[in-house]
Amino acid sequence: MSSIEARDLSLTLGSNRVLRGVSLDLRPGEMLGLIGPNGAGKTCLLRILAGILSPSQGWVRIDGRPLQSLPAQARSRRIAYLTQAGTAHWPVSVERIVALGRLPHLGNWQLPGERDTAVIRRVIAQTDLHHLTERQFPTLSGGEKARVLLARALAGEPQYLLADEPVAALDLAHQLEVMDLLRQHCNHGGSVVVILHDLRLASHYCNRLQLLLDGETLAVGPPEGVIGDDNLKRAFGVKMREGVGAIDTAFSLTWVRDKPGEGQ
Amino acid sequence: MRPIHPRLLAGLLTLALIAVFFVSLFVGSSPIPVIRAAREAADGNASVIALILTEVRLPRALIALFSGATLGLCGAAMQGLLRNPLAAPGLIGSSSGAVLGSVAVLYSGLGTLFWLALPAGGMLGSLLATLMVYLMAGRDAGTSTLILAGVAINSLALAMVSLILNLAPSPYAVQDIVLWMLGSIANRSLDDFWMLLPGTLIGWLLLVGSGRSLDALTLGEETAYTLGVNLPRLRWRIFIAIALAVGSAVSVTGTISFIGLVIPHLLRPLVGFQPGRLLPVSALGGALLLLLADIAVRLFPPGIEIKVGVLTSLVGAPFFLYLILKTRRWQT
Repeated sequence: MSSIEARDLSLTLGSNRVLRGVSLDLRPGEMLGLIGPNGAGKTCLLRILAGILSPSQGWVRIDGRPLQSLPAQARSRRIAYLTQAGTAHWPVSVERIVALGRLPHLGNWQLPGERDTAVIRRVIAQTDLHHLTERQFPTLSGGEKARVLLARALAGEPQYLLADEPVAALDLAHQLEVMDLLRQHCNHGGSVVVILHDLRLASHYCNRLQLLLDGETLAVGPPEGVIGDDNLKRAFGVKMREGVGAIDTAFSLTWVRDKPGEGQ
Repeated sequence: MRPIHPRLLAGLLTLALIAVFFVSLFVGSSPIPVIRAAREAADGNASVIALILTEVRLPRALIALFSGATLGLCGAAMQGLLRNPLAAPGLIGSSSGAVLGSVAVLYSGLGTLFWLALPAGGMLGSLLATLMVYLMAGRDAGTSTLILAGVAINSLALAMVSLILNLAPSPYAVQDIVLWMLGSIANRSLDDFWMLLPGTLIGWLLLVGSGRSLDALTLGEETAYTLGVNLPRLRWRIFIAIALAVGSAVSVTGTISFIGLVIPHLLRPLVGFQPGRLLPVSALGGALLLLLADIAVRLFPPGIEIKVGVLTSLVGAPFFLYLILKTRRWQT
């Protein structure tokens, strides 16, 4: 069964113990939200899952195989990673950026085939980027850039999508658009680990949440079990307003998209 | 500027290169009938015009072709690797290491003992400088650390060159070394071309196939890694390739600056800013520019001898300043 398992992950960077004995499970079709205050270790945990960082202790298995034993190409076909502040160092066109997502499926000398082109077209349509394909990446707005980078990740047809704050700095409509796309990925059998600071979005879209504090897991489970007064107080030093103590009242806000068939 | 289809661009550059290569065989202090000279050389007739063609013009054109291609290709590879349009092989000490290695060979007289000593010195100097940069910066060094280490090694190599010049017993030796350092393709023989060829070809071969990885680096190192790029291996491969190819070229031509900077910059918009596609066209463009520059220095009136390295610096340095200003404007 497709899954990511991580056990007892610890990470020390310099003299800082960034993670202490964190475990994580990601099931097929699931969206797992990593939440917690700044410096809790969320990004480091995600980078370990992507294979970018090696844990000081603990292990990660992808579909039962140790992550470090996977060849680079096999790893990159299974896992896509969306960095926190994705950028392009050259003013490449949107279409070329999306096409980079197919690299894990191409050999050194192999030209993109019909299937690669079809996947790129499909992802461009899915992310509503048709009208932007010729535009240079740096000329796009923040929301457009976020969609392009997500399209690049989806073009690799990964089983697992690891996204580090993909909706940071986006307006509400674009936040919903990106989160809908992540949800779609799960609905099609993929799995997502996403770092979010917006607890409403996290509780609305994620199947489970994992709350980190000071490099440790404070709580993990369904949103209504994780986002409670005690956990919020411990993790963020805030408490809910009087009379708004339960998840289903505090986070009952739903959004209705202005496009038919996309309402949440 | 709109991108041109890569094959069309490569085709146009190749046609221009072939034309300029033949023009360079015609241009010189004494005009010769090149076709007749080629026919006589092919017949084994050691006539004056055949000798001028095979011993003077042809080696010069071949060395310009291969050295220029190396400089353009290595500049594009370095800029792609460091994601910086101001990067060039000189940045990580490759060029200054090659100069030090070659100067050491010239100074010690090793070059007279065996014919490959000069390119071997250039390649060794280039490799050692690159290795030192890498050791100083660390295995998983970031780009800025690498650049800082390169600046330090460049300074050290140039200080060593100054020391060698300072200790040279004869002023004639100093003059020879300084003139060589200015960068020239004049008075080179076919032996010089054969000397530069092995390191050049090995360097080129190492760079072949790195285009996809450089494309992936457009999105940064972390994303490139998750796209399957082995970054440490890619860096080593490009550094060794540059050390071998640039080391060989510098040992034969001396320092020829700015081609590796200017050519990738000019061609980048035409390939849609894709680092992988930039590699082959930069090789063609570099060869074309050095051939043109070498033709230009031959057009000066007799008595005025301008080294091709001086000409490329005179044109390249203002271009470099323009690039810095443009980058600054873009960043602000």
